[in-house]
Amino acid sequence: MSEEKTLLMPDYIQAISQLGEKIKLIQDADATGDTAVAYDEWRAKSGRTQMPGILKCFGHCPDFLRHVMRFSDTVHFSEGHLSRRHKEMIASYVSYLNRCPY
Amino acid sequence: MSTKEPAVTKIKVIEDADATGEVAEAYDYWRASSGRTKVPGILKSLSARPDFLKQAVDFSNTIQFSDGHLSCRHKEMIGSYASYLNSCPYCLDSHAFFMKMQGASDEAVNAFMEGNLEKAGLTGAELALMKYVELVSKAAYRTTPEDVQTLRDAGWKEEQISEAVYIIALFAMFNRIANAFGVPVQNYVAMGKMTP
Repeated sequence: MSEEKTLLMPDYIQAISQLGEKIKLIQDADATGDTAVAYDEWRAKSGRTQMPGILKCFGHCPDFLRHVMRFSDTVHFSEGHLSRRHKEMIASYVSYLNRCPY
Repeated sequence: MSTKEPAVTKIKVIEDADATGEVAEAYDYWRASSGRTKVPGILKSLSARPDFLKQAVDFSNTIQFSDGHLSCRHKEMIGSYASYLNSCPYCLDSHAFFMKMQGASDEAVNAFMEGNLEKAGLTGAELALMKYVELVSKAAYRTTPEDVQTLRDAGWKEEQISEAVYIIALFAMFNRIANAFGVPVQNYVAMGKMTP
């Protein structure tokens, strides 16, 4: 058995993402209408092509997806009263505490 | 102890009368959107970031205070029960009152206030949805594909289940904000009305 480990987080957190599909997401290729438009807006803004899973969770409500992208930029992905580095420290530790491997 | 003492929060917020500049502008943005005058404590908790406050007003109107895949009444039921489970007196009181404004009976409102949903006169589908609110609120990471299938079997569609999750998560956020700041409860249910 190889000793190499690709994920550094503990098994009890890593295992959470292996429970299988729960609520169906709207995948990139299946997006139509306003969902496709909202996905394209994210692609244009980020310069990336594949929608991250966390944003696809909002595919059923594209108007809310736009709000989520906007307020995340405002409060999280920018320097504010706290630095970006401290914000990511908070987010990482909260995600650890809430057992969210993603 | 006088009940007339001004309510003090754990983390300081900017009161209506002390707001200037961008904060005053954000408070006025909420006043114009709601038609009310006294900014609720939960929004004053966002006064450190008036730009975020305005976005919170907007996204709350989009996802909570309007019919979507779920009705406003079901959204307020989800908000009330999540607030009960998260032990947030401020949000439980205000959203149980909003449930009443959406047509819920006094018995149902009181049952939600006590977290005793068996007395709320809910349908089987509504009870299944509330059971899911409990699962996600207590430990979202423990939910299973079978839990979601139970909701589908009860008649809920994928987009309704999705929207329910956004609302449960929205309350996880606002409940934590209200409790971390220590926003004083407004007693809407007991008064039978909102502050102006």
